[in-house]
Amino acid sequence: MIGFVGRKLAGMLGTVLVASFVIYGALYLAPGDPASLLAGGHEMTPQALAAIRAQYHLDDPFLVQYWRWLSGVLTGHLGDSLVFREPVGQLIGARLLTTVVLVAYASILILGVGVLSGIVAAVGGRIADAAVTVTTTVLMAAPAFVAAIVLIWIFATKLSWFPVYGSGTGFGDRIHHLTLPALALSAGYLAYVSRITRAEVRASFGSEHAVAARARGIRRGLVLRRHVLRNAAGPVLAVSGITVAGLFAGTAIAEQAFGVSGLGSLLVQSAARQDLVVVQVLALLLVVAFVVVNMLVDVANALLDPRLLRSGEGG
Amino acid sequence: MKPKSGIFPSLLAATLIVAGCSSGGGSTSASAGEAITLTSTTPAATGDIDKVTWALPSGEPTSLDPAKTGDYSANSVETNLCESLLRLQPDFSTAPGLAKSVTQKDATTVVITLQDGVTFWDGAAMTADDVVYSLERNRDPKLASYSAHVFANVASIGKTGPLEVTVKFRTPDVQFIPDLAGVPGAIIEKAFASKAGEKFGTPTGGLMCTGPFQLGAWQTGQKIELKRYDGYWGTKAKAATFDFVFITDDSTLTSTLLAGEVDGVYEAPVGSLAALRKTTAGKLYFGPSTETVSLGPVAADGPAADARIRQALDLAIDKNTIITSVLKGAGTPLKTFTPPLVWQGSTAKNIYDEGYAALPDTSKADLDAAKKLVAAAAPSRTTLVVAVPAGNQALLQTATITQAAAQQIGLTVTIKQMQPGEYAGMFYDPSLRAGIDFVATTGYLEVPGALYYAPGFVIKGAQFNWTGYDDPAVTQKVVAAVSATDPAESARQFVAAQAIFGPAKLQITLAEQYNRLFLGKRITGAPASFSYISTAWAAQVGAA
Repeated sequence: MIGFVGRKLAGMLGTVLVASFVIYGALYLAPGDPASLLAGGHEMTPQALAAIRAQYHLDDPFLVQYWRWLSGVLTGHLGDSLVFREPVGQLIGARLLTTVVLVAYASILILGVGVLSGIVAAVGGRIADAAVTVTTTVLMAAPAFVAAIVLIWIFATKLSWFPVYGSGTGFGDRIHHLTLPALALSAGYLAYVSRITRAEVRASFGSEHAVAARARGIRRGLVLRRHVLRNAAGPVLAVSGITVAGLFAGTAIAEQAFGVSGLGSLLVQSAARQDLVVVQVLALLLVVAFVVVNMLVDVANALLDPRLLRSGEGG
Repeated sequence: MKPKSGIFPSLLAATLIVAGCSSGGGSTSASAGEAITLTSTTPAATGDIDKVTWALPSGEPTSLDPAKTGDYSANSVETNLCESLLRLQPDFSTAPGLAKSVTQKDATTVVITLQDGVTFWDGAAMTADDVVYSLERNRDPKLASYSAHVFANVASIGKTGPLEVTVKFRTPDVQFIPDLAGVPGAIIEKAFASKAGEKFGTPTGGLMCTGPFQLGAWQTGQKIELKRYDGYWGTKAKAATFDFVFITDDSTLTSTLLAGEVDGVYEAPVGSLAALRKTTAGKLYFGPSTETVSLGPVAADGPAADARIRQALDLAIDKNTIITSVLKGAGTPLKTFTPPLVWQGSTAKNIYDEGYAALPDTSKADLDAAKKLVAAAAPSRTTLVVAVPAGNQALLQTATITQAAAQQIGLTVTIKQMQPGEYAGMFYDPSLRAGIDFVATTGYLEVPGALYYAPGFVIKGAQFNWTGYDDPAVTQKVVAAVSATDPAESARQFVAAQAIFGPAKLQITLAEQYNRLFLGKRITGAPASFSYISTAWAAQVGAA
């Protein structure tokens, strides 16, 4: 197990390192001069522009800039936002909790509702199956920003159950504010997980060991718990894990649409303003979140299915 | 004489309200549906109010330091915190602010006499030292102040009395005094600002000014909270708390206004004007403005550098199409890049108005005349590239209309969408302008005075004179206008210059966009004129 986790960790670090280079390089190559953005289109002397370039080391060679940035990130010095002139750590810190709560909320919806509805569709008879299938089809077809408009219209404007925008303060208020964004964010993924679960549970039900167990007269509920779900859990967990890991990137749309101040909306705004320092750190953070969640899923999968721990099959 | 033309948002500026709406007297213009009535003010507040929540559709300000204030969001907030020496009125005239008077003593001397009894939020009295410091720092190249160009002709700024400051000029510059009504004239506390250093005006560094509101909590990403300053020397703010929230998504913003979660907004989204006009949740006001939509020629050679091609393009584009489809009716054609609102408060208003009226009206498309101009110019190439900032739908639509119009007169337009860094860089780096003929822009003027734009566009070598326009008569008249201490003489010189450079279309000004203010039913009092951009407007907002 330790070796398995160690291999996973090493792979994770390698991924992050490569990603950091790609992210920094891609943004370095982006057209335009960040210094001119700082000048904001105002009349500016060449000396003033040069001062800005020197302050942010924009004239150094690429590798020097990359190394300065990477070592800064490793030692916790994330740099100052080009646009806000505030430390990036502070900008992220102020928004981190909101995004984490939003992702957790959406994950619970995806895993809870998605998996449950998938099981119901698989074993609950024809009507339940049809209902879940139709619902998930609609949800899968609706992109998050469309879902957001519909949700705002029904639940915020018409029914006034939830606020239209904002992140809230305190736990209860935050949950209240984040309910619609979490619904909009999770809808499509939830439907996807529901479909996968349904298919896996069905397949598992039809597999030889489940048929044999039922032939031996074991109760259907027990077969479902002991033999079917356990076997279906692996693929469902893998898919859910990737889905949840990808949620961090998905928050951009939901946060923008609901005026939630989180990392996703910060990323969108920073990208629009070409605030490279912030975009670089956030992009790296997304990669880290993705690989960490992925690793946790792999470990969980390995616990469910110890065969994966055997050397060579751990990938 | 140096170029002076500020803010690139304002690069495009110019327009004028055809029907004389500038003074806010209630003229109307036909739009795609109902007629729009312009007004400069809204009914005065009947009393105090506990809390107002206001939306900033352009997002969170990046700084509240007056030296770094120069866009919709920062101006909307900062002008309520840090007052300027002069106050901008809804008709774009000026009134005393922190200065009791600002006098043009002679062509190269301006004397500023300060109000007595003004205190900063920390209780310290405002002194001439604070004023000298606040003005002087704009000249520091290390600070790279957005207002640096306003001080380009200044020789010295000195304290000449306990409450008197004298500004000396190397070259006369009569635009300087009106500039003091905007952020260039904002006063900050010397002791506080020197201590805060680079962090001044940021969420961590804070601010120290004299305005009717003081900076409360600035929770980055969430809101900026203003608190009424009870020691304010003038009329105190009506609202105890004024919260600014950042809602950049048009449909979310509209929903929050309709639901009453947000009380008001300036620059209401164009796409939502119909919904906001219909609702009972509040009222949408249209006001006179200096905001414009333009095409600017950026090349010193090629078709765009030929006045005939610019005139042809101007004649080919029907301005009412732009107003109806891009501005949804909330705008009006303009004849030149200096919008008439900027001189409405001038004592020489009549001279300016007459000069404007005498300019040719090209608002209606005239394809025959346009084709003749193209034939006469016989350009070496008939393909043009128009740059727009990526993601800006209004400017993309403008460029698309331009493309269709150009095709009718035998010119082929290619639209180039540019990333923000590239687009901003174009204004400083000639190499980024290579291969581009025109740039589509929107802009505004935040201070009165007809001489804010012209020098930067018409004088050879000026920062925004990218076509190499050079007319000795224009230069001589503009320099005379900038040097004339008599307002009437300055106006005459400007108008004479404008009669020459106006038809040369150094900017193809497509329309003026009206100011769009939405007030929820709880509140009233905010100016409907674009003058808000340089005014402590939030202090006037109170209970309806």
